Amino acid sequence: MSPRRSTGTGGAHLAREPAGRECRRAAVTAVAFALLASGAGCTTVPTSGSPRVVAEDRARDTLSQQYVRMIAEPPRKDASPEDIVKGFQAATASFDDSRLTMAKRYLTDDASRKWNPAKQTRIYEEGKISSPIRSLKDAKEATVTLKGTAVATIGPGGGYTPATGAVDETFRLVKEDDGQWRIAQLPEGRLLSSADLQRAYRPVDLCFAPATPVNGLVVDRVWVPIIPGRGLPETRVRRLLAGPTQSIQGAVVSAFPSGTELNRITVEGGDTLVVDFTSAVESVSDDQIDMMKAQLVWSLRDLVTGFTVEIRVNGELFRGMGLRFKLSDYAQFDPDVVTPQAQAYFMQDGRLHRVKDKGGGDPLPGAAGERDVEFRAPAVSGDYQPRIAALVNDDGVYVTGTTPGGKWQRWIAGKDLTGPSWDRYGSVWAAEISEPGKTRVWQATQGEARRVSIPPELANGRLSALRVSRDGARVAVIMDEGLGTTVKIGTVFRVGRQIRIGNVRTLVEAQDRQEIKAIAWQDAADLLVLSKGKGGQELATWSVMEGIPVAARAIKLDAQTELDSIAGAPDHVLAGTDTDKGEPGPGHGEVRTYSGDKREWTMLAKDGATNPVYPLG
Amino acid sequence: MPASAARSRRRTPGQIARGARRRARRAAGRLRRSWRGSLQFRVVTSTLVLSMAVVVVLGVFLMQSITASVLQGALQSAREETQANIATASGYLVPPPPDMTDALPDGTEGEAGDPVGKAAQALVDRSGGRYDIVTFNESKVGQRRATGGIDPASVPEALRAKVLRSDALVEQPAKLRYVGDKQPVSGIVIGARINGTYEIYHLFPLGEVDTTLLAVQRMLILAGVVLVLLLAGIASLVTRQVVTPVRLARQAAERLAAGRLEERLKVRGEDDLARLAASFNEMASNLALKIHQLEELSQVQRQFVSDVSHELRTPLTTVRMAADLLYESREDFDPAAARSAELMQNQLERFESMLADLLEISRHDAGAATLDLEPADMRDVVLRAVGDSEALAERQATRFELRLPSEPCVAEVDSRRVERILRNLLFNAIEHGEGREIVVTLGADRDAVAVAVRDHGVGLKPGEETMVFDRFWRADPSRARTIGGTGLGLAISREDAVLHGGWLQAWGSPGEGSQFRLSLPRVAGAPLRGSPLPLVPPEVEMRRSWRGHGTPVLSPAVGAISEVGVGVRETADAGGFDVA
Repeated sequence: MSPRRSTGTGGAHLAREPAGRECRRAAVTAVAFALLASGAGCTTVPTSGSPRVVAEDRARDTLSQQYVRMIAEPPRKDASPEDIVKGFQAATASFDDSRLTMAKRYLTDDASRKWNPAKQTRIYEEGKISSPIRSLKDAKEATVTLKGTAVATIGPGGGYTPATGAVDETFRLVKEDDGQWRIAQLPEGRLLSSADLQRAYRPVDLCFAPATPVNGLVVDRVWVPIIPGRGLPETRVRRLLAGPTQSIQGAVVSAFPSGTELNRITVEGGDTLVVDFTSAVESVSDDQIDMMKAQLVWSLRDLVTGFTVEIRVNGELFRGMGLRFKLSDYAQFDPDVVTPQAQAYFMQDGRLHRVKDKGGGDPLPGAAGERDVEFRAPAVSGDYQPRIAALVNDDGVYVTGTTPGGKWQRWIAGKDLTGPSWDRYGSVWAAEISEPGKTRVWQATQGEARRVSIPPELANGRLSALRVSRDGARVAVIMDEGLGTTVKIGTVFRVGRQIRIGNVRTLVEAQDRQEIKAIAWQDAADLLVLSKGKGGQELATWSVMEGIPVAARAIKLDAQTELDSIAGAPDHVLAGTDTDKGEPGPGHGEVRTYSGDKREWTMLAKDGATNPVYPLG
Repeated sequence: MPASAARSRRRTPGQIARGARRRARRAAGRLRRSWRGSLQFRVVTSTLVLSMAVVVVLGVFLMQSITASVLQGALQSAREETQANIATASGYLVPPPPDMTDALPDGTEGEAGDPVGKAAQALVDRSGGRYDIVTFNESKVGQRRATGGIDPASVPEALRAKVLRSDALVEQPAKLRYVGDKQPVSGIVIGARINGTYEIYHLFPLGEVDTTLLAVQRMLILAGVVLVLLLAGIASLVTRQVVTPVRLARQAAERLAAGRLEERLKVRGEDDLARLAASFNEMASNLALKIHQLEELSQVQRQFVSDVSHELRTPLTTVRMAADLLYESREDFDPAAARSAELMQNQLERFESMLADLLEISRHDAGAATLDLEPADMRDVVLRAVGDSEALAERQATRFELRLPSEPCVAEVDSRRVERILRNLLFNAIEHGEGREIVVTLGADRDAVAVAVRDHGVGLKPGEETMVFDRFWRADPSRARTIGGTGLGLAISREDAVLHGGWLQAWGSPGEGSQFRLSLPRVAGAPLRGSPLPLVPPEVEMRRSWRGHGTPVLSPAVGAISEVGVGVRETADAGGFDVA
């Protein structure tokens, strides 16, 4: 009996086991559900927690930029000649493809071989594309004209030259075998509208080293097209490596060894801009490393504020040690030379005063702060202990220090001289105001005057003012060639101790009944020009390197007050009025400062204050 | 070695494929064996598969709902932004009055006339880099604009076609490509048509959403895999608790089956498995008890048979002596009494041989039978046995045909017992041979010798091949024993053959006669692997194969021609089992 019972229980046990497995599987599934559900429950946004410092991520804003670009489209089927030319013009305004493959599809094979878009870029405005209205049904040839006003020319290096006159270009089209119009003859280079220029180009201030060794940089403004896929820093550095533009070549050099190429620019850790060059960069001589670094940070200027820049060579540390620096490490290389906080000066009671923070001024120590010797047109040097140059006794330019008891010393002798102007090398410049053909320009260092050789464009006129730019690379003059006053810009070339002015361009053309009264450098690239014409006085900021007035920085003048002297520093404009000219006693002249934000003048000093001066420029 | 290397180098793709297939088949076989052989493996595998299915379904569902909710926010803000931008842009892109376009020769717009550029600039100033804009105009040349570095080819053609047909906002997910970037970013493109001809597309990169979703997906997959593995581990652990005692029980049952009746299981706890162990133990002890009782009983019976035989001998001897006396003086009796004396004499002889056989078989049963081994030429043994049977054969008018090898064929045997076996076989053949010829064949090979005795009598019915060796078995109970065999001869012969480590097997077929084969190893104690002679007579076999079909009973015998040993041993084992 008992064996049977035992097998019976065993059988029951065996039968129950699969049921147990079933149960287990169900339990396991339930656990899986619970786990996943609890996991999902944890991902809600927290509503409490401890405060933390947020890590900054600035990399994105610096390297990315917002812009609109033109997209080239292929020629449409059966398009009219005008549409072909329009499509071609749109395609040339696209910088996606450096070979302009799409634009060349609008040309006949022959024309696309001959056309060289890199040669020159001309900018026009108010362009109109039209073709003589006639039946095109059976025509094999057609002409389309592009008419407009010339605005400027952009050279192969990106140099901007203003242009005047009309643009009248003819496109000759032929009907190809497949019945499609194609351009067979076209003007040379690219023709872009000013809208294209505004859209596709950006001005960039490149910094180069002056040919004379000095801790400072010279600005060269170029217009570079925005190339998609290439960040602004990369565009700037590549253009920097390509060297200066034609207008300034010879006056500046690049510290980058020739043959240096950029590999890539990346941002690491949110605050380090890594600039990776090819190995040629390592051949830079030791005394040029600082200049090279300064060129790099100052060319990138606004992009690397707060960033650390690191130079690498093919992904490895520069010369095995690394090269990390900041813009603030190279502040003394500032191409503007003076900062917006520069000390301003003015004349009052025949003495030179230093502007105080709260307004008004104190007389300077030394000869310039005393009335013993009468002087005019003072200029202040950029030294730590400024020196003053001025016209004294009408027989030359005299210089004095700002230590008590200093005396005037004559540096340049001459009867009719323009007001002196300092450059950053410690030299004083002045030109003789004389008949055309006899103009001479002097430059004096440590009391020793030298003649500066000038080209005939400057010699054949009557100079009334000469201002050396603060970086010492350019000269601005007011000149009268008999047709009215003009402003001309020349480049200063230094070969050893020989100094030559060349590459003279006219900045402000002579206009009927307009007189240029004063000029002053505001910063490295901009010149303040005070003129008086039919509509009264006008004070404009001209971009020296582009040759156009900067519309965004136009200065509003008070119609009641007549200005007679100006001075500029970055973001600052000072003007002096001399309402009581010739009257004895305490004068009524005032020195005013202009606020660009509020667009209004405020008084800085009164009671006969005049002739405001900033160091250099 | 170089030869094999060369061969392995010269293996063709076909060979490699075949090798791979063979290996796969072997692995599948192993897997199937594990599946059928291991409960644990089965439980773990099914848990793995089922939980994987559950986790996959759950994961896909979760992923979809997460994707939907994450994307929903991004898409919603993208749509709202696009709507606002389109309102702005349509302010710039006012269509010129129709008469104006006719009146003026179609001229390029100056700065004032680049509305699409201005619109794009206004929108991109607002975008702050979150999205890019592409514009197209199919009816006017030179109106294509893009912002930032977006590649205008990122706008799908299908979307453009749809935008050109409808006035509503149309959106489509797309891969956004940027000039100079090789890696496309996934994103959404929302397009609209403004003032009939301008198409404006907003391209929102969803790279961050993509990254988030990828991270979530990776987490889900990881969690799923861990979960499934954990479940499998748990299932393995849990089944082990059940399987281990079951395995122990199985091992114990195997040992029990092998005859170790003292095998018992450890009883731990009070659960189902403990009860199983207790029941098993109870069963085992009951079995042991019963087997012991049966053994004792059979022992008693054997002893009884032996004792009875012995006890019968003494009175039998007396009876014999008296019967001999009566027999010798039978001529003095009347014919009826003389006939009785003859009958008594005959039956007494038979009784005596039966008693001898009973004693012999009880010796075998008691394990008391011993072999008296010595090398002997089997030809002599056969000849002696035939000589003993010749008298009987003559009486039955039966002829012997002897097929003996010419060389001596020596084997280590107990020749007395072998002779007895052969005598039994010959008597049996004469009895059932119906007077036809009896063939005795002696065969030998390196390891074994065999003697086959073939008769051409009625033969054996299927299934009788093993029954012939049973004690007191008769093919036809109604038939009288003509020769007066005791019914134990074949049984004793079988016991003798087994004692030699040999086989005694029978073949028979109705109408074709039968054949008995005795196979013995040449060296005593050596295992017997095959027999030098076939069990089925070759002529029968040949006739069968000529007819082209074999009966199901004989199909194993067909194989036996090539692999005699295997087929024969199976029969022998089965026979041996029956005897035990």
